[in-house]
Amino acid sequence: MRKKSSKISKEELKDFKEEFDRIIDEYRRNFEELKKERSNILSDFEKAVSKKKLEKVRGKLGQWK
Amino acid sequence: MEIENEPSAEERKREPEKPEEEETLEGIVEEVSAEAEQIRQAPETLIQETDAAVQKIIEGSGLSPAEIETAERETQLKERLGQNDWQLQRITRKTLDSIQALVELLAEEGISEEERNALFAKFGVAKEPFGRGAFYNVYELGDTGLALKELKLNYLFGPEEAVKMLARHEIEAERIREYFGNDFIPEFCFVYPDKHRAVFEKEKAQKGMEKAKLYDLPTFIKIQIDRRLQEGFRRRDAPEEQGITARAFQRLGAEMKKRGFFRTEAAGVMVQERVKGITFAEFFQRFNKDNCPAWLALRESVAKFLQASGKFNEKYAMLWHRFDSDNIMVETDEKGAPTGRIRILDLNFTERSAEPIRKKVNEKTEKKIWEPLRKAFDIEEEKED
Repeated sequence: MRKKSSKISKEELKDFKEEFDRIIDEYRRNFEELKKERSNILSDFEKAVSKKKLEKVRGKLGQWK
Repeated sequence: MEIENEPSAEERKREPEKPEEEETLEGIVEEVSAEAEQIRQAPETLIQETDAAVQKIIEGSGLSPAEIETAERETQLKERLGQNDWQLQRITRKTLDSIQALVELLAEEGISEEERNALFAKFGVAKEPFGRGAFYNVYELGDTGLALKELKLNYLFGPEEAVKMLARHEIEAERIREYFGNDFIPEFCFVYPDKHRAVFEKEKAQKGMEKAKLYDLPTFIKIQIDRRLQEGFRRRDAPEEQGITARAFQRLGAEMKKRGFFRTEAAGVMVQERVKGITFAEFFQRFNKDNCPAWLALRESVAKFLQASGKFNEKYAMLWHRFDSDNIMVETDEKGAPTGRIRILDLNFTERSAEPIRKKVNEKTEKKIWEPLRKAFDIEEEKED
């Protein structure tokens, strides 16, 4: 009959779990930072597009004057 | 503009805490596998969402393509997003690599001996030397006394990776020759198609690189998954009968299969001298000191082998945990009588990137092979000064 996993102690298991949690927490922190940075990049782009739009409208208005 | 995605770290923290349950090995593996899957998908989702957001801004702007291009250039949109994409991939890869390394270590630590033996038997090289192996299709080369082992591009390795792996096999084989000498090693040579030569040459040029760079854990996991896939899942036990490593590999393997890692082209070949021989298990069954004229010669070979293994295993670990394995054999003559020589047939997969695993493999070899060999051939253990 197959023996169940018995070699690993509860303490070791806890250490492994803590290490997993640490890796995953670190990933989440980095992920959040990169996500925030992407939002900033998009926001810059959106502003630049709005500025261009405004310049275009002003240009057209100038033509009508 | 906000990008919608999974809940932030702060939001997660605010979620009500579950009552603390006792951790189990399988529970951890389940949980970590689920996390790994989410992590694997997260960058792609975020990148897609960003692309959609950029598209939305462009479409709603009413600007010409040239004006959009100017806005993109002014804000360095593509460069900055490209850099962010790269960093996303990097943290994802790093995290998944760390998780895999830990799962591997956990599996090595956690499974029982029976499970481990079953696992090695299941993932092991085919018993029949001529036929279809996990990585190679093996053909006879007429009456030359040579075998041609063709490395297949398999489920996980693209042409470049497969050639790199073959080149690494050559490096490993050469290393075994260096430690054990020609007497133990069948003649061999590696042949690469011209189109793969550049990759091979580059890999060979890195021969002196650190062992951890040769077989890193993700590659090791890939190899194991691939071996698992090679069985086509046919010999699977019922889920409740499987060990955690089998189940973890199965899950990862199924995912790789789903993503279509199938190839059949050959990456290169290894030509190896055919060896007539029997396993040590068969040798011990059929022969003893009294009925084997080559006993003393074999005893000398065993002593030399143990001496070389001791040095080799200070840095590496040859996998030989069972006497019925054909990785290492007793050479026989045409009539099936032992010649007194030992031949190492499996010259690969001796790298262990994690030190605890190398130690464990070697501890088991000591217990399962070296000790019984010393006892059977009445050889004294060499003590370090």
